[in-house]
Amino acid sequence: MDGMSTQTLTRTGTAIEVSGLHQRYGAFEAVRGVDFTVPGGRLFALLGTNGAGKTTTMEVLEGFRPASSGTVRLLGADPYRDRRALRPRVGIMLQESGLIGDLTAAETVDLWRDLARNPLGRDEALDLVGLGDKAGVAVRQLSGGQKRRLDLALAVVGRPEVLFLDEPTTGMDPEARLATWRLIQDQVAAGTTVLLTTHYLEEAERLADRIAIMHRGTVRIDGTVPEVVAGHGDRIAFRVPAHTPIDALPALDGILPEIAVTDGHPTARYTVTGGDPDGRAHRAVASLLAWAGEQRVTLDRLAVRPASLEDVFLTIVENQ
Amino acid sequence: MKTDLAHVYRLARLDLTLIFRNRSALTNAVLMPLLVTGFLIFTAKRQAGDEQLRFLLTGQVAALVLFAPLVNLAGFYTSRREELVLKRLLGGPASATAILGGSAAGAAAVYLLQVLVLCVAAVPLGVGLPDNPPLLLAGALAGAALFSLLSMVISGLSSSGELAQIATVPVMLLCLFLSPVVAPPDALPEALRAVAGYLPMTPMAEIVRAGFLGGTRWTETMQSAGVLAVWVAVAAILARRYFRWDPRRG
Repeated sequence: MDGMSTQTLTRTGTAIEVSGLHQRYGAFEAVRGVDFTVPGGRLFALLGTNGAGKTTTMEVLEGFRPASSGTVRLLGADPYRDRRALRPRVGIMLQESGLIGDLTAAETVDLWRDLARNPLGRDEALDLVGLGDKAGVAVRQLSGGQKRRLDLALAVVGRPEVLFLDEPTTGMDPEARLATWRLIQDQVAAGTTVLLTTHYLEEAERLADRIAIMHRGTVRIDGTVPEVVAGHGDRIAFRVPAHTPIDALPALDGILPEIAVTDGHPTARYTVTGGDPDGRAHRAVASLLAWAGEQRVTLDRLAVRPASLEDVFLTIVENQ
Repeated sequence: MKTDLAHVYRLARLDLTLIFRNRSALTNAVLMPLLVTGFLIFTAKRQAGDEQLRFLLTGQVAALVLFAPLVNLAGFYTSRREELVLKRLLGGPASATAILGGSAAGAAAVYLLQVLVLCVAAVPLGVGLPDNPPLLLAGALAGAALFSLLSMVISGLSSSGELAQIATVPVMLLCLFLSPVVAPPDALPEALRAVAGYLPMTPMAEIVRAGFLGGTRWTETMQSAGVLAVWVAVAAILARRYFRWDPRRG
């Protein structure tokens, strides 16, 4: 319980601060000016393609290397220079496990418990990640997903105030992924700050208070999920009615449709972005239905939905 | 500092567990060196005089440092770095010094155990117990530290555990054949004798032998200690320069 006071502090303060971060490896600049802050007790997700700079950003925050330029603060300290003081307060799960194959799951947890100041119990840690029945199994005999879960147990065994999770659910089956999400949510509920990278957009939508989408070394967009998707319009789609020429379809909010063929039918898709985000889908659909009424046609498979994180992600990755 | 020592102890224990659990490490680092040494000593016992036996046995007390703290440790550091084990540990509460020091301490423990076996075996062989155990221990520990640092350098330049072990072989052969561990310095040609004086094994072997047999002037021992200290400093600088935590593979 002696973690309580510090956790209360970090919940009110800023746990992670990154400003103007650049990271170079020789001539290659992996990170080119990244800024974000994570308040204590919140979960922040970094999304992006491979090579976007997520892991590099994370490794600077984890204190593995100094920033080439810019400033990073972790719990108010410099993660590289103050590593000795910060290390016991931080839990890290790398993108690849780095476990010792010759140890059993229990021996692995015991090693990390012995290195920590105020660790969880061995059984408690293994049960948290659903490996209670694998205690005596050699690490090399665990499946990829089980290794990932053991790795997560090591990251939380020292009761960290800040948790870095680099693609934590890669290789897990859906059940293990759900259980892992619950564990991460419990950590956040208990006051832990989490910085997570993921390829799974659903994971970010489920867990994150705020997200940032990185591409080629910069943050292209950040905010809460609703904020991020709001700028990317609402999607309206329907099958083009038979005998209606494509150039006879109306413009909605000044936007012309894109036509694609799905299941053998030409389908019209509109992305309406103008005006206030709350009412624009309604206005667009109202004018569409008015047009359909005039034309006496039925719009089969009419669908309206807000932009998804995937839409935003693909727009960023494809356009830039 | 206290935490660092606790971490070194815990990580050394880990390495000992792993050495005794891994059949090839157990063979290469613990058993095979003792077998080779035993073979050399018993051959000397049969075919050579007491003087040569004393020389060879005390030389082996020093030369055993080439196995656990050099060959095996260079392989350990490298394979664990490539498997991201070292980086995973570095992300935890232990410091870089404690992580590297822990493995080095584990290797030193194996080496000291082998030294102990030789010290005990020396009694029935007629060489007797060490004359100055603290000096012997100091030489052995300094040597273990030096060769651990050299294994960090070699690891930093190697891309797999196997390659790192292969890279230690020239160092090992130079130390075995030019330093005064198997053959006395006057068996070497003049030119090589000068070079041999500067090898890392030479001052270590001289100190260890002085500790075991006694009868060496302390000025000579201090001179050896000076050369050894320079080697430790150089190896530490090189280790700092060349050791790496990120895998060499992409």
